[in-house]
Amino acid sequence: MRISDRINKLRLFIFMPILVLSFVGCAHSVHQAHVSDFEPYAPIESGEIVKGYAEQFVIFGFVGQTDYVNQAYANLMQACGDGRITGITTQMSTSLGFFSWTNKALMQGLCISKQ
Amino acid sequence: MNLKAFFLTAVSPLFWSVILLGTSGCAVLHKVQLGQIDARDDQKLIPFEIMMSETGVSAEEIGAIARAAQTNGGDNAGNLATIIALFQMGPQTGNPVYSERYAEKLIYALYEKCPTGRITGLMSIRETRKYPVISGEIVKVTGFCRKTAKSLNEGTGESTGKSNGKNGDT
Repeated sequence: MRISDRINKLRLFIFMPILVLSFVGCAHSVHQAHVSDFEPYAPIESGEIVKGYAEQFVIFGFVGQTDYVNQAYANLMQACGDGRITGITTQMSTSLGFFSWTNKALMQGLCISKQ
Repeated sequence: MNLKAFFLTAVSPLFWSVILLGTSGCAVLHKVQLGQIDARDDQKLIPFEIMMSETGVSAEEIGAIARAAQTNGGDNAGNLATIIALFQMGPQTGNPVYSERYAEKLIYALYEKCPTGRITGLMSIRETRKYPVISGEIVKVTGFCRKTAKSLNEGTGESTGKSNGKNGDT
């Protein structure tokens, strides 16, 4: 084998894993970002932004947690206690992976507490 | 470059493929959702638009283009793209992006556009601007901020009907 061939092979073995690793584990896909109504109308200072988040891990198409959206919803409700939530944004996304992926639900809104 | 070489380049299919791919671009609409519309004439509706985007990359297209070059290096790059695509399995809307957080601050952006929070007629759009290999993965929200004539004259976002969080619609 010539030296140049060896160098080419070495390049392939060194750079390919580096390139692959640099792209792996950080690819995502945002499916939707929905915004609800802003009723009752309120400025941001009148409350605080609360979040509800949950995720579902899928491997080889098998899902573990089928109620992750309900869980995100419950988390959001819990974050606001007995107040009202307005302007809710719902973001559904997926973190892609090797024969597995993670579906994510993120809900945010303005919590206006009873005062 | 002599005339013959220039002519050969100009008639090569690869050259025209690159020109065609490089100048083409299309918009793909994935989802649209509407919200409540409050267009009562007691207040003025000021339109606004928020656009948040991130660059998407298609490993499959990189692979296809690299293989089309029909060189050793092109084949290697094509194989590399195939391996990368293996690590990007899962449901996809548009091309994969390398930051999922680009639309997370949407609620803050909405309040920035309309500090009073009197927002109505919201339309949430998820779309892709598609180009060869890359794409713009876009989250767009259009809507209206309800403002009184007084607040418009003052040039502030404040409206006369104070929203202190306790009231409903005014």
